[in-house]
Parts: sequence; C-alpha cells; structure tokens
Amino acid sequence: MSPETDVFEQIRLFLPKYLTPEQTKELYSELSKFPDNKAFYLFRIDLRDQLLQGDGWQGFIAIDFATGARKTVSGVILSNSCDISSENREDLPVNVLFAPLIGLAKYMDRLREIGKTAIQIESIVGNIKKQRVTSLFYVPDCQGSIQESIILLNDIHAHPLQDFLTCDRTSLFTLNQYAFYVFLIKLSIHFSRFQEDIQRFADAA
Amino acid sequence: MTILEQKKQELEARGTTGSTLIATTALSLALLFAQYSYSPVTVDDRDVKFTLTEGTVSQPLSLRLSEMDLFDQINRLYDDMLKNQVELDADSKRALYKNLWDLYT
Repeated sequence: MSPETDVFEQIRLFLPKYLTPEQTKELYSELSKFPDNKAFYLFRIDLRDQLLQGDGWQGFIAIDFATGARKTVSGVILSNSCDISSENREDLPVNVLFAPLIGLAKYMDRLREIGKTAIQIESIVGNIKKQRVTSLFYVPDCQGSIQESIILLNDIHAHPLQDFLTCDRTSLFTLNQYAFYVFLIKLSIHFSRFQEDIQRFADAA
Repeated sequence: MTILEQKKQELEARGTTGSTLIATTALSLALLFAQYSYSPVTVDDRDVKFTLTEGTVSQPLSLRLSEMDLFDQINRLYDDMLKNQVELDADSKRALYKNLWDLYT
C-alpha cells in the first residue's frame, strides 16, 4: 500500500461507515453551514420509538441528590445508542444517561433578573447558539415539541433502561446526521480535553 | 487557519497529496469517531460506497476527495469549537446552576 493510500484509508477510519455517497454529500453541505445551521432534526416516524444518542425524550426521572426528590423531566440521551439498545439482555442493569433539557427563555429570564443588559444577554446567548460554551449543548426549537433549549454536559443523570422502556415516555426529537456530529464533537471536547496544556499532577519535589 | 488547512498548504507546496496530513488531526478525531454508532441505514445503503470498483483512475480519486472534504468539514467544526470556546462568566454560571432543579422542563 502506498503512503497516500494509507493516508486515505486512515481518514476513512474516522468517517461514518454507513453513509451513501448522497448522504455524504448532504452531510458535507450541512456541516459547511455550521455554526449558523439550525436544521437539527430528522422527522421520521419509524425512528420515533428508538433510543438514539443525542435524541430528546420526555419521561426521564431526575433525582435531586441533596433532597432525594424525584421529578419527571425532558432530557437528551448521552449514552451510546448501542449500549441502550432494547436488544440488551433484560437482566443487565443498563442505565440510560441523560441530561435534562432547560428552556433557553427561562435561563434568559434569570440573566435579566441578575441585572444583565440586553446586549450582554445577546452575547451570552449568541455564544451558546454557536456551540461555543463547551459545557452546554444548544438545541433549537422543534415543531411544537420543544422550545429552544440547552443541556448541561456536567449535569448528567441515569435512568435504568428497563424502567424507562416501560414508563410513560414521549419522543421529542431525533437529531439529524449533521446535528449528531455537532453533538459528538461537543461531547468529545467537553470530556476529552487531551489538548489542554495543563499538567495532570505537579512534579515530585 | 485550521491545522488541516495549514498542512494542506504545506503538502501542496511540495506537490504531493497528503502523506503527513493525518498526523496532526488523527489523534483528536480518532477518539471522536472511532466509535461506530448504531445507524438506521440498511446494509444495502452502506454497501453502495464501498463496492465502487476502481475501474478508472478518476472514480476512486473523486471518491477520495469527497471523503477528504467531509473530513475537512468535521475538522473545521472541531477547530471552531475548540478555538472559540468560551466560559460563562461567574454571575451567569451562578444564575444557571442555582436552583437548577427548577429550570428542568
């Protein structure tokens, strides 16, 4: 194998394996519009019942560590899709990891309450919408399912898969291929800061 | 200029098509994309791409270039988010995390 072929083969390793040439072209086109591209969703009835990484669901139970209170919330799945496939053995204690959705409007209200000016709020929200705040993932509004929202990548909860499958739940949105890649990159940067120039521990004295 | 763009320019200057391109970006993207997620796309669809024959010189070349373009875009997003990352200021952060429970929808 020539060095060039080797390079292309290596690149292929990092690209999605399942895209047709047409889908590849479409993904390229959507990615090229980032960060202004807000076309995040895939509207396919056949996917509404599947638990896929990055998708939004109503019906998760969040538990407040301090008080033990429980609350039914809407959230975004962080678990890898394969890990939470319903084909998993029922006797395995698999959890669905999720981050609760927070309405962006509610957060903006809080910013107003603490005295932020309209210009400051616009700047903060602008950065959030461009996915520049590493600890947050922004999702645009979705046809009556959700308003513009954010999730906090450091506010992660677990809901046992088998319980979630049997409880009252509603699919809120399915990310399209483009938004899924934005989500993956966001997760990667938030959790894997291997490029960070900070020493893990001090040198021995 | 992204790392990828810089490398491309270096390679073009040397009249080659990319022997060192991977070195700088592969490490980061390897961790990101080496996870083969579940896909609803059928096996038949998936096969379309990889059963293309190399019957002509131009076909595999164009196929490779399109994959390179996609890689380039993914890398651009990664660079954009990495280089332009910001933190919320302390007050905005406090406003978000205080009574977070009440913000859940």
